[in-house]
Amino acid sequence: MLAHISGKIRRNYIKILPYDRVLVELSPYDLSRGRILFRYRS
Amino acid sequence: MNPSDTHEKTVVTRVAERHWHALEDDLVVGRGEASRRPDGRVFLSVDAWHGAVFDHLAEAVLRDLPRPLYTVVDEADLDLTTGWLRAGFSIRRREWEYVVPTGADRAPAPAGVTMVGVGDAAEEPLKELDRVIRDEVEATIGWQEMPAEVRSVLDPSRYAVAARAGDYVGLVRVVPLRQPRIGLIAVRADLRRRGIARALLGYALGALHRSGVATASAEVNEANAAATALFEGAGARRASSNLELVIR
Repeated sequence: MLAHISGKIRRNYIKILPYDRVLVELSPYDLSRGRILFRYRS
Repeated sequence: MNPSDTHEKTVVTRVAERHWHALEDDLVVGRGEASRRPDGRVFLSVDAWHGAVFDHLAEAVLRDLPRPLYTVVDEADLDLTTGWLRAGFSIRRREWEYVVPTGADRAPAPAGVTMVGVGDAAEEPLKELDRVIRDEVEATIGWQEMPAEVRSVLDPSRYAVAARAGDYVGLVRVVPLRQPRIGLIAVRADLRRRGIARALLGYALGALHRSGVATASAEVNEANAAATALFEGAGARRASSNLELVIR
């Protein structure tokens, strides 16, 4: 699944690094696409 | 809140003062959001799975909010960038995202300048230096040329300081993350071009290296030649770029 960063994360300059735990919203049109909504504190 | 826009089966609804939803058959297929930065500017974000939904959301948000309005996009995200340009935004400036290695050899501090470690600076002199630097920035280029938000609340535990003859003359703020971020580096205007910023950056990177961190990140306005030279001189490489867009 390929997920891109949401505008809110981009706007706040939050970096997504390998091994980060994230919350992903799946596209209702294509389950292989997603959007990263939140990065959990590790 | 009342529905504010319809086109075919997409309905855009303002669900809160700064939140919009695009709905199709009661399914949220897009979101718009606005937030105000400390400098007073309003930044937008719109997420949608299809360009047409993005256009509906952008149109509704732009209709509901006063201008100017801003947004930040990854320059490599051509779909999103094109969407905002289609909505009437234009490119205001570009920021480079740098990744800086922490392990390189560092230049010593200039004669007469000593480093005060992260978290060791006295709070009142640090606040005074912060105030002086803010006044200098506001009197010259302005905070709108600075990447990201500029925090108005000072957290001394995140600052290292350069001291000269007992006075604090420069500061660097390090945000502790998995990949730490150099949030701000600044030197009093009357003491620039003496290597103090280079020494501050080297000191911060050296401290990170000793704590086991391999790289740090930073955002630099493309138009800031001094900051670009500072970070590239420290071995930083460009990892990506953001565009700040505006509609007036």
